[in-house]
Amino acid sequence: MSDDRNIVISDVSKFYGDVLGVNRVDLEIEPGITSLVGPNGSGKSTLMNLLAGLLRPTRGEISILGLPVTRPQDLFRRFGYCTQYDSFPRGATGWQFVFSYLLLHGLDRDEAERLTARALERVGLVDSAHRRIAGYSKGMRQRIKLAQAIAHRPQVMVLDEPLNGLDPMVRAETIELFRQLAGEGQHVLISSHILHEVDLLSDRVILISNGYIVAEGEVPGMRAEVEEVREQPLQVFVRCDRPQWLAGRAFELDHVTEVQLHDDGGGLHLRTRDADRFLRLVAELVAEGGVEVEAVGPADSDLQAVYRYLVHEEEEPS
Amino acid sequence: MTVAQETAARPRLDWALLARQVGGLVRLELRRLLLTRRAVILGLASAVPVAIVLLVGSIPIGGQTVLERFGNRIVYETIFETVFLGAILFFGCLYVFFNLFRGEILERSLHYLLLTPLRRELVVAAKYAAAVAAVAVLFMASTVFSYMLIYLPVGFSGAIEDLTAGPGGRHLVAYLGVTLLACIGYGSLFTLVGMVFRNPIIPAGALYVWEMLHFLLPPALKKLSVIHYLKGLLPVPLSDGPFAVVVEPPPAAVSVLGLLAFAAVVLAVTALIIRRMEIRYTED
Repeated sequence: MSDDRNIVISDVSKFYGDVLGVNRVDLEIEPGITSLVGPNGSGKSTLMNLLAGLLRPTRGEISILGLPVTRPQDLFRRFGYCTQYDSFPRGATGWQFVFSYLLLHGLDRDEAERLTARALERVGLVDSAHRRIAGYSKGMRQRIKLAQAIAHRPQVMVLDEPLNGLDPMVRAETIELFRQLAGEGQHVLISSHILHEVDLLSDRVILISNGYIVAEGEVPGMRAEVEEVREQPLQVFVRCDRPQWLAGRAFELDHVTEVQLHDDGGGLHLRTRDADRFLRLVAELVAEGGVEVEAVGPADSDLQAVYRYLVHEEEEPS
Repeated sequence: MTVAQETAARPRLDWALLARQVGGLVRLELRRLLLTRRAVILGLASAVPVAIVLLVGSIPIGGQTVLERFGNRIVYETIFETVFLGAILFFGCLYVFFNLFRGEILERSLHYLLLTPLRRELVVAAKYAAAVAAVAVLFMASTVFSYMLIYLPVGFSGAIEDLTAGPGGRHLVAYLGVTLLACIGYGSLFTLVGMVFRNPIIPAGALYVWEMLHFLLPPALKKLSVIHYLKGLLPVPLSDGPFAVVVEPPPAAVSVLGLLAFAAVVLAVTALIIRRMEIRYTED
């Protein structure tokens, strides 16, 4: 397939001073639904912001459908981006928010009104269109951002954690919307930190960790790889208010082989052959009020840890 | 045909489309400026000169109002130069133009604009034009109302006579021109300041001191202040006091063209900055 029909990322790196955002990313993304999956802070949003030209790569080049990201006048007729930012122009209603930015595409008012109505209908916000966004729930704000990103019918849609905050029914409707858009031959690039959330709807998955693309491919192959590494021990960290007590509870589990308390007394590392069960225990203890958890995640940074982490996320009760 | 080929085949500039896009952004910005709390604050600020002229024109002290005692032109020039030009216009422009981009960065909504198919330079131009229009309408209305109040002692017929047959009409046009040019000059400066600085206090404070003490500056440095050119256009010359370094005011054409050129250069610098700008709200 020609480069001019794809998203092409060539040897792209982004550094924030000395801090790595993403490094040496080479990707060619074809039409369909592609999921960019990785833990929080892995570089997903950085990569998406680079695609949208909101960040400039330290090195490398990006082209979208053959267009450079430095030409907004061409790019943004074909490109829609739903960012992670939960912020909106002050005082705007849902309708005004979508409609006013459509006018900046040079559409006449009738066409802009028609597209606004269509976008609001697609995300199920027709009834709330004339309410101020400030009064919307988290899920509604997520959907109005999505409506704004798709309203001008872009060929490439980049959606940063678009399923965050959606209730199960709306989530199912939104996933169906993604399928419709991809079925129309469009690029839909979705990020998530939960593999399970997106693997069923994706044509392909890109795994990212610590700024590096650690794997990419079609979903069945990816799942097989994930299954292969499931049985390997995984090092997990937990930051919580009662690490000693949690260590005691962890040692009662036969699959926990090693526990090490953090020097500052605010957490622990442990090694387990069945992280799923350990995470279930943590969830139960949190639910019972036994411990307050600030953060939990894989302590290893290799591919295996990323897979394991993503699989845990998948199986954790949400 | 691929998108890239289709784009390459299109004419480089579609003026009608550009006009619709820029018009859309100007209207959006005007709504933000005139239909929000910002407009109330600006409206109150622009009412201050009107209130002051009303006071000095209606309250008698020792049997005469201030307007009658010192002459309406001198009193108005003093109020315009010290209160309006010296404070209201400066700080009004600071309030609006500093927040033109900085406000959207703080609200974390600037990316929506940068994700539209408009060149970033045009985003700067359209937002600036809308802000100049909004601020100029309010402040020019204030200039007209406050100027009309100087005719309180002579009544309606006296006002008409001075405006049509006397120098009143010419003076009013000069005050309106200075108001507009102040909005253009200070507006461009504060748009740039808002792009570069997160907090306006230090740069605005330094600029204010520079502008207000311009009369003490040597002739070469005077040329680097906006107010030097604005004052040269005022119709009634006032003394800057015994310590002032007196220089001949620049010709009106130099003042007008100089301020317009200054604004264009400052906006070009702002456009260069926004072209290279990255959206990283966490740093702001």
